[in-house]
Amino acid sequence: MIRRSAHRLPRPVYEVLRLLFILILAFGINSLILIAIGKNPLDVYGELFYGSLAGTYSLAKTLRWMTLLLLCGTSAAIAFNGGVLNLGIDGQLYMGAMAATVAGIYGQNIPHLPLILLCMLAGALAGSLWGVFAGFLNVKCGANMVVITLMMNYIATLFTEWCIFTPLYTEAGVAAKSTANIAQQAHLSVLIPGTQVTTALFAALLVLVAAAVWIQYTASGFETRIVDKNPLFASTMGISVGKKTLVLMLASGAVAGLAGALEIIGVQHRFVSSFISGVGFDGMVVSMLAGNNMLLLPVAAFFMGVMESGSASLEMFAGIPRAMAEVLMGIIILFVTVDLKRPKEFLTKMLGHVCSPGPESARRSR
Amino acid sequence: MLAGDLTVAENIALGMPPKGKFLWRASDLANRVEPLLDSLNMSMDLNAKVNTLTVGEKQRVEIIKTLYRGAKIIIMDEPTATLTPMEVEELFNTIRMLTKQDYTVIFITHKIREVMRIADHVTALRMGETVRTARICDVTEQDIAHMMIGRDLRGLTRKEKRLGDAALEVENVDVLKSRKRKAVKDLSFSLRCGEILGIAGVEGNGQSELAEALNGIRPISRGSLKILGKTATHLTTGECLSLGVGYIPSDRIKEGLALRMSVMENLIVGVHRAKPVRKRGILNWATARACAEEIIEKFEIKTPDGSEPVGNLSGGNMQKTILGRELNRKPTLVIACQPTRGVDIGSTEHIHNLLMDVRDNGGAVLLISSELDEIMELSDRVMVMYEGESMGILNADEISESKLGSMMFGSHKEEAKE
Repeated sequence: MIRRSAHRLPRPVYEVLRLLFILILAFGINSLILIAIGKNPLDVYGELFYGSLAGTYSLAKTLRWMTLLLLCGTSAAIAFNGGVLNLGIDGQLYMGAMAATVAGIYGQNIPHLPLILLCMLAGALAGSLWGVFAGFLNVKCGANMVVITLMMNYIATLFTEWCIFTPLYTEAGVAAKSTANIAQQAHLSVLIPGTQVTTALFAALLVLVAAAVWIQYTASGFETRIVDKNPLFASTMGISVGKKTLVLMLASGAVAGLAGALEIIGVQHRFVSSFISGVGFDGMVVSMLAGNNMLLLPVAAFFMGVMESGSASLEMFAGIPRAMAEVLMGIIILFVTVDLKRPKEFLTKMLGHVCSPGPESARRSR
Repeated sequence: MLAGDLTVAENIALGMPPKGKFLWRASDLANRVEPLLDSLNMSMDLNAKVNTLTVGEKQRVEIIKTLYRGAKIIIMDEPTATLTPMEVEELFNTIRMLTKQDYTVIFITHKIREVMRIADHVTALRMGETVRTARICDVTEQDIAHMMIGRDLRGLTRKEKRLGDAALEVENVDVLKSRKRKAVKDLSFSLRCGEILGIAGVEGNGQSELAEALNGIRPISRGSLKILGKTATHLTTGECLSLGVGYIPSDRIKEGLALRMSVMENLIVGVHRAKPVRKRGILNWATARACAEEIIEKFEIKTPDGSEPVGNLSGGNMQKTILGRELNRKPTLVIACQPTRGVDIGSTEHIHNLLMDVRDNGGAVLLISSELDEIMELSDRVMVMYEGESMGILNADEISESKLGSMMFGSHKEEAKE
């Protein structure tokens, strides 16, 4: 029996429309909250976007956050596309950052480019080991992935703090809870003078492209998607779900660790305790906003970058506490996790033919 | 639907306890249930826990439950799916008694022979529309088949059996269901190329565990297995597949397909690591699409195109997708579990032809099915499984429905031959 031959939207188009719908809904509801506390939503949103997009320095701030969020989002997307709930991106990022800091501090005699590469490698390695350890506990011992990865975030945070005060102890860093500065030649080149936008942006885009090619054009990526859609089917067809989980944790952890490394050599230049708290979770939100679709990650990451830099501007210039932006983010996250049937029906009426999304992964025919 | 942990009485009175009593017992139910049981010539232990009953007994509880609630019309949806031939006969007797007492029974089934035996009127539905309603005395089996699929069944042609090498050699195999319990006990049989061995038996007697063990999904705890001459007792699923095994799992939705992925993607799983789909590490989706379209055409899978989510297909077409995927790899051994369950009879006929083709072209087919008709139509030899053991292997010319029926019920065991 053939269902009516429906005009099907290509999946990326569907995801974009879904994202827009969620954002409009969330912004709308947030407006009601703003009105209730006596603020004009248009002023607030205006400042939000102005502070994040208008002018070189605003845009630079947005790009700086976008870089980090894109990496964390890619890390999350790699895992989520295989059904692996890696909630430990924060911890993997910290371990990577610490590894890069160590490489940067002790590599005083190594020239510029090799040292940068060494820091990046160290970061990726540390992150992937931290991640695959959780994966190992999950696959071999049946530990719950969510619990394990979340708990290891705490371990990582506290461990790196210990590193600051014991092996990497410096007098100068005690007050600021930080390590010594990394070698000068380990700093990344700045792309826009006077800002924090560095060549890390290129690295993030490169990683994204690699991940996108992997998920769509390699057998390993294909098998990953099958494991997500139906793990029982995958194992019936000879795909080892356990092995896939480990590989995904390796890769996801590596990207998260790389994010930490790039953050250190690009912006921080030393390891300050708990320097970016929660960015791993923001990365997961980025991936969820993008529907775990690699092609949409930059869009979602850019949007969240806007939110991040805009909310700072909101606080400085409009006197609205940063928390307001977090309320908005919270509402968005609520909607992201809901399977919205209404938008499909609404779009159907609007566009005149059935708008159900095409299969989650295949390319369109013809 | 029955609650396994409750007694028969509790299930019958679920939601409608005997009036006027706060705490009630089975005996309070008796004055309403006894007359029902008598009128249907049934006996029932009201205090037995439901999960200790056989499938046939559970079905009787369901019927009494319906009558207790005052039903005058009883609708039965595929009631004989899990019954042995004897239990089917008992059910039919019950239905005849019900109709004698002016109850109305609507009997939904895809088995034409049952319709001819039990019904007074028959209505055929196709694609959600009524095709025709007729009195049984006015129609034949062929008429009903024609009503169901819009054309006549073509029937199966069976070629002369030509045996080749051994495809499967199973010796004294045990397969565990859980830590201590054995699903398969000391099973031995062999299957040669060029023949179809049917494994009959009511579902739940170890057949699915056996199939999973043969395909490397479940470990074999004792005994040995050889596939196409190679020792395969401890191979993984991937290794079994690469030996030339095609596997059609019994639950197509849970194990055989990724519903949210497209038909094309489901079709290339298994060949996605090899040329021409994958070259130098990169998947070529244009080639994949072309391969998929070939399979769709060859196996007559009804789908708008290759990128339709496979979950939108009908049951029969989903099953054909699985068959297309497996048979396109030209496997030497095909393990088919319940290949036509929930499939319309047009596609069923097609699937039977496909399995027969495998056998005629020198392949071996292990057909595991709880549908006796299917087993008897396709098999060169039949083995019956009951509670994980083999009740014997019969040649095609020795089988009869009654013999197989009593083997399926565990009350008859053939001595080992050969």
